[in-house]
Amino acid sequence: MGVEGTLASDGRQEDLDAAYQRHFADLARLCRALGAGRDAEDLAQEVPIHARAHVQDVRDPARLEGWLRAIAVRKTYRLKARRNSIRLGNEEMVAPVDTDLPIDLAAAIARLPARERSVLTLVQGLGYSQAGAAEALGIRRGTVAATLAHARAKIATWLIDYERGR
Amino acid sequence: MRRFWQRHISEGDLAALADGGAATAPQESHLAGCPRCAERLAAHRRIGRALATEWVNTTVSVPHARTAPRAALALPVAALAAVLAAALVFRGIGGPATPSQTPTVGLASETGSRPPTPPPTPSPLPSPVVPVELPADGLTMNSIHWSPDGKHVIYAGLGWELLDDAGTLLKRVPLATPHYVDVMYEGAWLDSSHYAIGAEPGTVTIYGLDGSEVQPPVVYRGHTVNGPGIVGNGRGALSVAAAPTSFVVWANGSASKDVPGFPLRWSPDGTRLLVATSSAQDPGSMADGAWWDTVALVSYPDLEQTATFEGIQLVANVDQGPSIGAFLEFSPDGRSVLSTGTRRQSAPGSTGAAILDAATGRTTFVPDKLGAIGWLPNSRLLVRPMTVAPGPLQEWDGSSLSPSDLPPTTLSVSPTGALAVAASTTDQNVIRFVVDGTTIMDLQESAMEIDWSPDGSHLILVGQPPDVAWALSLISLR
Repeated sequence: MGVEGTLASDGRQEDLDAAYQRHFADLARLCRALGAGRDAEDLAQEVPIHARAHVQDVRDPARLEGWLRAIAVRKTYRLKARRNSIRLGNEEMVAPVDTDLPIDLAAAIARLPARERSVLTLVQGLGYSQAGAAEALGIRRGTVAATLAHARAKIATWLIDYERGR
Repeated sequence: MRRFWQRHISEGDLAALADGGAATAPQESHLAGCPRCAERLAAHRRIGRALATEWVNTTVSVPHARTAPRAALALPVAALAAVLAAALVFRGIGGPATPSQTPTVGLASETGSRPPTPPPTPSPLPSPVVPVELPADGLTMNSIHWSPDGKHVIYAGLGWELLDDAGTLLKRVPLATPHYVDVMYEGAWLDSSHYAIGAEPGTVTIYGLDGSEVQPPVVYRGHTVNGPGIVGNGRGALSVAAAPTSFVVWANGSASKDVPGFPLRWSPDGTRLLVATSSAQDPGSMADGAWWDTVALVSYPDLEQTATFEGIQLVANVDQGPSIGAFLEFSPDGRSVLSTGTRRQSAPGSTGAAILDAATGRTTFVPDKLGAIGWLPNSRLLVRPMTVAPGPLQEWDGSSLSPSDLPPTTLSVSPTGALAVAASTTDQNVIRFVVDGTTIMDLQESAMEIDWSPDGSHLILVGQPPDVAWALSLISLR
């Protein structure tokens, strides 16, 4: 990576702050979609705290947005892990609810393993590209594609089983 | 070693077709004659339409039943194995699947609860063989490695576990929770007493079954689309990807020089290593949907390139989990390598199975309209007709075909050749185990993968039992 491709050291904080301002709404939406619920905006506000401490690790300015998303994802999952240890019950999420399917698609998505649910939410729900979802979730693009296929296969199986059982 | 096959259209391809992708001629042919795939394609289309509607904030009641099977791991392993075995026997005679494998979240929007799944058809034969259901699933654990002597097995992915051939858990790093972690594990055997765990990115630890633990000064940079990049030869040597285009071999307490290539497979005698010769090529487009690379053979211990395979590319599809290396397998005599995803550089649109000659570097494609099932113990290739209905199997030696006595629905043959696994002709969700022509067990599952122990006495089945997404079962045939 050449010098021109790095975040200038004296401009890093400014670059970061500008990027954060641009992407705050997107980060909050991401946290909410992954289940942060009413804590989504708080989590999005915590992102720059971590980011400022590690901004020197970002060498490619083009990856700043993906890096911020990855931080938001991890903060959301830490929050959810803490929540799961102390309370069970209802979970806030985003999902399609007005569908023609005989099954409750939101419940089906909630039933998926965490990775499949998140990949499906980012790609189908938030419209991320597979590469963007891979960067945010810290996995490979091929894994995103495979995980999407697994998730849809499971929902297809549940739909078929339900209709056979009717 | 992993052995993959594709009896039906993959779920990724079905989803792509549902989203408007064009079916290939073989897919159209298959869909015309396969009610299962036609039904699943219809379901994928409806789900695709539903997922394309607006996503809104909503609240769902989640009982967190997914954590139940993991909590069960705290039980003594012997007790757990007994419970699982009993549950499987119960299921085998018509009872419901184990509750722990079936998280109960209400799915039916009209009734509020999902209707019960009809009980599976009982096996027609009393079975002396009882599968042991393993705690991991086929999604979180993505590779399976038998020790050379077949007495132990590792599976690895987001965590890793070491078991003996009875399914007893001996050592593990539990699955990370939540599932988003920085570390992906991969396993390999140096010999029957020592195994290596690569933690990507960075470290390799070599464990002895005697409890020893060594961390060699080897940097692990595995898991490209070519494969995991950590492979043992079963005779004390371990090749480790140090970069996407170079590797080192750890043996006898020291590491070799950096060698060009990405390690994929050792020959059965441990003297040659198949390597990818460049970093894999990503077309950057889902339209092509394939990564490809070229390969060569490196001798051991002198680590010199002995054969290159010119004019071909080895391919893996983007929407299928297995890496390029998963489609490669040495013949038992070590003279050839089967590559089930091969294409000519001059005709990159057509991909098929081929045999790579380890001595000459020559590539011979499997004849048209035939598909490869796998190697037989006699180092001939078992091939099947590429038709919707199962047809008679044949053996191919690279030049001539001869009839095979194995059932047309054979999925996989043990390394000893004494046992075949086939899907029933009447219900493709049944896996039938046949020994010397006699059916010894039917399992109500759809098989996705079978990993045989080297002596053919055990296997791990990655399958889909009724109402379970994916499950791993250990089956002893002794």
